[in-house]
Amino acid sequence: MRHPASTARLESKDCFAFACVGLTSSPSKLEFGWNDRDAGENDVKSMSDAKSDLPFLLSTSPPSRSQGRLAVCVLLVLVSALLVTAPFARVPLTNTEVLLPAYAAAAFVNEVITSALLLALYSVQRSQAVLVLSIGYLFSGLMVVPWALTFPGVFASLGLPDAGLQSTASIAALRRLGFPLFVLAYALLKDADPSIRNSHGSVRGIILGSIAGVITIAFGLTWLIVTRDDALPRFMSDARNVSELWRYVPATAVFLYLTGLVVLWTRERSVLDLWLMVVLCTLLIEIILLSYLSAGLRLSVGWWAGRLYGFTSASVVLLVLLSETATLYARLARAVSAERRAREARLTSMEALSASIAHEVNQPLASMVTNADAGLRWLGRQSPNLNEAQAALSRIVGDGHRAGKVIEGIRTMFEKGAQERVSVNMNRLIDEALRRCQGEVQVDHVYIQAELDEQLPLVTGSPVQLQQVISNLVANAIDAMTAVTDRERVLRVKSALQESGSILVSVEDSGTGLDPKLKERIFEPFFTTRSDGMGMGLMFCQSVIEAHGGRLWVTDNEPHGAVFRFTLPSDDDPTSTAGATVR
Amino acid sequence: MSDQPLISIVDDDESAREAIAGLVRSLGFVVAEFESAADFLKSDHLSRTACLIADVRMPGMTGPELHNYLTAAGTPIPAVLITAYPDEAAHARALKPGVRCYLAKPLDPDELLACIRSAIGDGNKGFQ
Repeated sequence: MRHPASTARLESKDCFAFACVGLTSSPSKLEFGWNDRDAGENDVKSMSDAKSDLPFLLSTSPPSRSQGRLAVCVLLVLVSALLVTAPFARVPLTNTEVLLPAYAAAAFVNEVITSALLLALYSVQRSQAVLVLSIGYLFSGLMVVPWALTFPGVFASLGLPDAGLQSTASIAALRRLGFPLFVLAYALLKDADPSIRNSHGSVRGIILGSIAGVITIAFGLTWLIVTRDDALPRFMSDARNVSELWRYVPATAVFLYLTGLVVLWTRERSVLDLWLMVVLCTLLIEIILLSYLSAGLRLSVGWWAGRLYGFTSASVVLLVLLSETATLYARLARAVSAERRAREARLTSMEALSASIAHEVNQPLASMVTNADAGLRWLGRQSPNLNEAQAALSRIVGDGHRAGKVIEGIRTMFEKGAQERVSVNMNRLIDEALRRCQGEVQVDHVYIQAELDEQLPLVTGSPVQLQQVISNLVANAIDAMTAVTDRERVLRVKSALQESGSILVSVEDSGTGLDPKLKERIFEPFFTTRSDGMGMGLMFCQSVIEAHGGRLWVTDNEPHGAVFRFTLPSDDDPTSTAGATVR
Repeated sequence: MSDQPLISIVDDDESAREAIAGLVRSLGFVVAEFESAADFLKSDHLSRTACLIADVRMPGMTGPELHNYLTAAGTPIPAVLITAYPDEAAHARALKPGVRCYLAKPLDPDELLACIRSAIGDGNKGFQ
């Protein structure tokens, strides 16, 4: 009807005394240990860890393989589009000026949003490289406006004063050459980040200052270009055709794009780096179409195609960055909620720990009081019964020792060693646990089978706590079989390496098995089917295993009994989080 | 001593059981100890027991369950329930006809004596 395995027997079994109490010392380590270790570290050190502090950012998380594949796909599509367009590049498309404001508006919005995204990234990461890049995007976006406004014939109907012939081309040259310079600056700055990341001034101030600066510069340059047309280089021979001088602009741009690509390629670390390379490739293709295949002929098929492709891929890049941000945000949110759950679990186990200590100490204290009362009464009689009084005093001595053991056990659990995480050989812990309960096993006629995987990798954890878990489960298993008389009492302990890289330990018994109604509840604090335990044992086992990044659960054994299994991430397991929780 | 009312104590915790047995003996009663309800039900002390002192939480049959079982079987024994975890709800549930007291450990000797006396009736007073 009830399964005795649901709690460990705490008292009167030396082999398992304290199997459960104090297992929750894990929570304290999670908080205090961290502070102790980091207290003495200097700022430079923590700064150099900046990237690992923020693993969820576009500029810090490495691109996945699928992102790499997507980037290559985008480039392949672009190159094929280039090849398809090439033969028609020089076909002029007359009267397409009307489409230009639409293109300009879209490009403006696109680049300003990208800039905003990067500024947001900067506000979190404080990376000057990211700040420079976002300024680059903002500058490029802002300069689209005067570029479109000065484009010959576009806004003539609005009655704007006619800008000089060279204005549009000069603005285009500024954008074309400015942007790759910003990207280059980003690529060169990003690895130097940690040392200069500790910048002075508030983030808000820096961002607002940067935006104001870029706007001022963009206005200033536009003003200069529009008012001093005669001082500008002669890029255009007429409204549609470029001059000889213009040739240097795309050539320089190509050189800058290629340099940027090389620098990014050699220093590629993050999702952002990957997609910036795509952007540079796109710009390269755009410039090939704009300036070479269409020979710089404005409003030709090649010219429009270049702009269209450039815009399309810029949008793809923006969408990818946005969706990456959302994905990373979701990951972060999950991590935060997991951390919150862990903290709540830690609180619960702290409460459970105090309740358990109270219980473990109260039990012998209550007996001592009762024995003392009895002793007083034997002595207080008209003819005192010294034998009975002596017996009562002996029982008090026993209870006192029992309470002392409880306290000693608690101290052991809180000793430094219990919270240290080292490489642990689970097989050795299992052997030890089985050896320590030899006496118990012989008395109860339990037959032990240990099937331990010789090749079992090490795990990282607290040997003291993990030892308690195993002792606890073994004690439960033995307890569960005390009522069994009609079959062999078999305790089978197995260890194995799983395909996932984590290790699996199982403790099987041939006992009375679990009541299905109770199976869900046995891990709850205070759930017990015994009177001498408070149901702490399994809850502690579970919290220890979970604090080590593993899982503990129970199933029925065939044909009789129960199997408790737990997993732990092994040191060989690349996805192991055991270390991360404590460092 | 056979005319002394027999007090049976059922508690699975050995040290608690021995302590309570010692106290009840010092109050002047004859005591029989049992580790579980099943042991008690099997024993030949069952019919002679004038008062049952049983722990509320035990593996297998609990104190209240034992009392209910005896009542249902037509052999009710006045009971004193004891617990290390006194709580109001359990107290209210436990107090049924025939359950004299619901006491928290550590037991107060005078209170326990009063409970036992009330359970076995005034005719069978223990001597102090």
